[in-house]
Amino acid sequence: MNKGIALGSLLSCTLLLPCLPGCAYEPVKAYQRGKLANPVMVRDANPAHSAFEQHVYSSKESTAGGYSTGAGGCGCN
Amino acid sequence: MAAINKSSKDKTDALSALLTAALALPGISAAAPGGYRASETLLNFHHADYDEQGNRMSVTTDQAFITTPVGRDFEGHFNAIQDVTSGASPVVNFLDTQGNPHQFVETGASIKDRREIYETSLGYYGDNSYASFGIGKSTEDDYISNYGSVSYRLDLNQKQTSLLAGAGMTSDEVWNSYNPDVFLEEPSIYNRRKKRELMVGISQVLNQTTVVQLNVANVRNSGSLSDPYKKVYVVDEGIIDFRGLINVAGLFDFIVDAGLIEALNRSGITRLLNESPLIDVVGLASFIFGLEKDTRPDSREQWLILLRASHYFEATNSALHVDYRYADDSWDANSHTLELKWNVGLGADWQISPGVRYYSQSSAFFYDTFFESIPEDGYMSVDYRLAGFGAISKKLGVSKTFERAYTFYVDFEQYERRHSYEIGGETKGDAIDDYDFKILSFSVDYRF
Repeated sequence: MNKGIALGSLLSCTLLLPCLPGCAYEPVKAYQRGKLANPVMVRDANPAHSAFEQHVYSSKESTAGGYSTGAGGCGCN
Repeated sequence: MAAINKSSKDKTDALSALLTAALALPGISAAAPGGYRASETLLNFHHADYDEQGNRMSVTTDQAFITTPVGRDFEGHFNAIQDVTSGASPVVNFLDTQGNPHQFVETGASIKDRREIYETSLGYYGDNSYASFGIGKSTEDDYISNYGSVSYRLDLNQKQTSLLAGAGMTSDEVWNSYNPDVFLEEPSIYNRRKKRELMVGISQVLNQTTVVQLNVANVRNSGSLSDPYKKVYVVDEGIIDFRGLINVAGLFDFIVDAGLIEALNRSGITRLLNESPLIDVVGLASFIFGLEKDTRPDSREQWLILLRASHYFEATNSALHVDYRYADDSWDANSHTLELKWNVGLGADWQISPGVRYYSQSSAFFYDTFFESIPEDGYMSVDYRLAGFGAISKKLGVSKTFERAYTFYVDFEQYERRHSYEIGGETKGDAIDDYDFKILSFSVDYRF
């Protein structure tokens, strides 16, 4: 895919996100945060497995990172 | 590990926990804080098995991780991992009589490696901020990596907005663990390389059910980035052009499939040849077949953009997590990654998490399955990881918590890599590099 198209698509998605149903911005008070704190809203409840997955991806694909800083490399074959 | 602690002071800041969980990271950050300082110690054990189809690579990993409060405002983390890797990896692509490339995988001979990782980090919790510092060391038979990172998160707007900044530095020493009992092994080499990462991000609570996040990262690698184990078939560098004359790929397939190379390696004949002052096996193979070294630029820069969204569905007590990542690469191996994960709370502290991930990358500008001649810039690689391809992963995770003290996790993933899955399918690659793998993992958390 053309790089310009990809970045344009990403920018469009970012700008359109608030327009999606349920994605409109509304200030949230502290007492209204129960749903946000629900355990299912934790993306990776098992970070050890997620870290191993990312290690596998980084050793089998050309792109690594973007989620954090600080992971070490590997001499993967 | 995102401990949902119910203790007095800390549990009031559940949103902070959520935001940091959304920023939860691999590597050092696997030991990431729960977003607020835990008042309990968390111990985690993790075991995973990785298996590629066709008895190629397999990896078994075991991990122990501990996070514990230190004083009033600090939290410490320690992580230890051991991987054992065995199997074989593609070395070179040979050609048949029609000039079609075929992978040469030296099965039954090559890789047996152990990786050990030790990481530690310390986090400080301010009133509306979190700062952390971490260091780590990864050691393999042919690799040492020392790394460190700092990160800072600032919560604004009554903690509906969080700003994140991070920096990381990695210094690697890499060599090939010369094994004279393996055919076509290069003599030992030693090199260094470095990686520098910078990242900024913003996380925003949109409403009572939706959180979004945007990260931008810059990653620069420099030093020796070539793979000392891989060879490149260059037709013009061979003694003759074998196409139309001899099926070189078939010849090597036959001697591998018949167990001839394994027999040579096991019998000591390979060692005798490799150590003989009269014969230069690698030089001879290069002279006859035109096998050259994998040669890459000594610097690489990637820009990564990550967009994440999480939305809670009350009717099903579930949450959909969507990630999109775009990478712009100075080697032209640009990529798209789209991942969807659906966490469903089933009651009685059971959770099930199906997911799917799609990845697509274009080929690096110096990648091909083989080369007619050495390019003007001298850069060339047949490494399958630099080819154009796409990959689809199907995932399923199940967890169960007992009495808030123990949580058990089982996760499974099936990964399919196909050249035909690449978006557009316009860049270099071949179905010879297609393969599948599976990951099965078990984890347990214990809080005390």
